[in-house]
Amino acid sequence: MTISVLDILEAIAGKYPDKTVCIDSAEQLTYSQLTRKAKIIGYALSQELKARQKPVVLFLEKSCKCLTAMLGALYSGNIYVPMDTKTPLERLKSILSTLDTDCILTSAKDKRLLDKIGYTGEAYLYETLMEDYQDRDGSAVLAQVRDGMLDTDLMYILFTSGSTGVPKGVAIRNRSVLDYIDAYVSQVGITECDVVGNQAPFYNDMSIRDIFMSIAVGGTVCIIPQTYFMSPKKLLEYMRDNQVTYTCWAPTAYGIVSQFDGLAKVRPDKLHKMLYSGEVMPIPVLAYWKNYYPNADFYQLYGPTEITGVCLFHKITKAYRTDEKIPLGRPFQNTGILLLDGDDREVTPSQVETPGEICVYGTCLAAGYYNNPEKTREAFVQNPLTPLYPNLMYRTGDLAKWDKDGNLIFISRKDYQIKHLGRRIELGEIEAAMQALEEIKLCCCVHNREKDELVLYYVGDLDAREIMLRVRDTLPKHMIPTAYHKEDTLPVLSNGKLNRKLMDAWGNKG
Amino acid sequence: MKEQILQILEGIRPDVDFKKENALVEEGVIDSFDIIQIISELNDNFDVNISVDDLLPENFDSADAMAALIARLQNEQ
Repeated sequence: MTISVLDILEAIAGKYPDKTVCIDSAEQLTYSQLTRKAKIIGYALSQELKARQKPVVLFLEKSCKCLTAMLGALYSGNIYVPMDTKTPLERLKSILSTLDTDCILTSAKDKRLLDKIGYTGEAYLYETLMEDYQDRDGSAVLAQVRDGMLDTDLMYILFTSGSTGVPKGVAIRNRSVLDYIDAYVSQVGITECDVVGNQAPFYNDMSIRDIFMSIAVGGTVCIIPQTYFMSPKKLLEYMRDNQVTYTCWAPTAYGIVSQFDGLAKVRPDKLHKMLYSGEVMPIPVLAYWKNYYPNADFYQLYGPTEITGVCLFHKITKAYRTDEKIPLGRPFQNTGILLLDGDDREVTPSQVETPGEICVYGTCLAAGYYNNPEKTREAFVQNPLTPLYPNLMYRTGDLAKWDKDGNLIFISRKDYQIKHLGRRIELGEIEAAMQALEEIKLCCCVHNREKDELVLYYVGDLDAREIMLRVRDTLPKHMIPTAYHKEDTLPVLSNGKLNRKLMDAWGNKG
Repeated sequence: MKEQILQILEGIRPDVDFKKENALVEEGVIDSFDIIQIISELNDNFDVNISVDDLLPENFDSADAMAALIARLQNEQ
């Protein structure tokens, strides 16, 4: 019986023991090496933690080691939580408190970053665990853990921006990932010949696709160092040298290559499938890549972290004008999509052009937000179409409409969540961090969509430099606004609330 | 020229001490969003054209490295 990705990994490792599963800039692992090392970490964690279904925070840069640690945590019967190694201290503490754990696994190299931000707690070192446990026989313990494993157990928790200032931990079960794999492999397609060029950090759900879809078919994941995305030529040479065939990146990453016409210098010739998700793809960027790869397949994918990965997909078969929108697409197999109007009534595909909120149900649904029943209740609600038995759906907050071909077309957000550099941000979380500074009396953060820039309007006695310096402990870099406007007062509506619409218009003037 | 570069850099990232940092890209002090802003400002202010061949971490790791890159590009013109 297939209960977790470990069953899939072992089946593939039996079939292709010597095939390369993972490449990073320092090392490579075969399927059998990965399985063996993950079991050592698994045995070590089971002995050190003496716990099951406990969150293990992985303070590790994306790498073969991080992948081994993820699978190791699963082998130990626990839940892995990949962490951005640039997480500021206050945010890390907030996440540890939500997880109610102090269990951090890091490496000798990444430990320096943990020290640098001022973390003083204990942390397990990957290298030490590997050395201490590699000669011990953990097979009986590991078998016992596997016997007790359920497909409803949590596999991982990914943290995402929270509007009140506290990051939310999306908790995903084993079976949701298995379901994701089944749907993805049959509908989007990937084979054992593919080498996936990974861009997404491992704390982002896009990486689940790169890693586990590759493993499920016996393919290879080639981890591209983050800094290469600042150096298109290096990036493309690395892809060419590693014979990358398949990419699934944020549009921003494709945009960096097109902006500097990188493909004119180096064109990785094995590339045949390019997918993107996370934000709207600028039409000229897509046209640029299609021009260099006229025979490749291009896909738009859509899905929030809360539904594991992808719930809508669309194969791009035509050229789009800049005033057209590329559809989000149609539902994945075994995934329920419901468009609900303002009164929670269904907008059917025949009601073309009527806006509604995208709601998702099925096995893909997260278990909820870890240790946050209130936010879980707000977002995971009873499906109104089946009122007679408990059946949850996730309200995405994305407004969309059906087109005449049965595809959903994105309209806008219902709330103040935005996408910046491919990452999801609640503007409220930025404002909460700003309001925590005593000198800031009032503030409003808006997103300049044209420049993809965060703009802060504020009342208070601080200049931009001081604000940036002081929020560095709470906000990750990508959430710190880069344009600041000090005002005497901010506009309010007659009900006393901030006039966000007006400030959004200011921020989008240019 | 270095003074002018420092001014540009501080305008983009007032929270970074560009006089001291010498592994801006390598250590992730600046990200791709900053780099794109920096390149556009440098191109405009020094009338150069930083191309894909120049987009290497070592050319952007410090204010000195950026000054050397611009000097080279100006000479080539």
